[in-house]
Amino acid sequence: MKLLKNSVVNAIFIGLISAVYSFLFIFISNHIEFLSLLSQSKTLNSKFWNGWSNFIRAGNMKYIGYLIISLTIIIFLLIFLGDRKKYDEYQISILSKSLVLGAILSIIFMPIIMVMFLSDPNYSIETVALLAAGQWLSVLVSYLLYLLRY
Amino acid sequence: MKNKLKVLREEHGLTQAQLGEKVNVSRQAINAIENGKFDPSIWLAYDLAKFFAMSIEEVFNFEESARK
Repeated sequence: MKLLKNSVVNAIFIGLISAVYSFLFIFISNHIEFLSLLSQSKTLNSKFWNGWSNFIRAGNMKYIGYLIISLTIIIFLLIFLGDRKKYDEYQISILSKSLVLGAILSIIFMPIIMVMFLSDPNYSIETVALLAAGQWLSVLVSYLLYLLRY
Repeated sequence: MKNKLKVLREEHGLTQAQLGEKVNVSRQAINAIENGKFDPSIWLAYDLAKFFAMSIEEVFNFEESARK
């Protein structure tokens, strides 16, 4: 938890994960091999999953990548242009709780993904993409709100 | 944890931000301690008590607070 105290360490961690996700989302958005892994359109009679699958197939994942880059830049600006260098113990306690919540969600995701792959692999790639994008965007928005509030 | 921080701070004519600066924490941390939402570490409790020239037990009411 001592690492959390240093805002630069927070920035480096967020920057690294954002770089990986944004690269992946931008790179796969028009990648034929990736697009071929998606479920055939209208595999299930589900407007949501068909809509999400079509969204990915149309190459729109790159916009999620751009959104991640934009949010990360805003977080960097708030960290480095603000006067905060180190967080105090109250701020660290809030960050720790957020981290624990994120870890619990990640732990829950794993068996769900395993069951999904083994039982009904339809829309598996779409589901993983949705969970990954949703989770990291949630982390970025939460951290941004944290910076603005605390 | 129940405490006299708000009373002591107001007696010294300090804002939450000013008291936070004295003990190197944020205004939000002081606010959370005053409202019993956050239990400070032993070192922060020591710093606060030292600033008011009191013992930790005089600032923080251990007897009437629930043990966590």
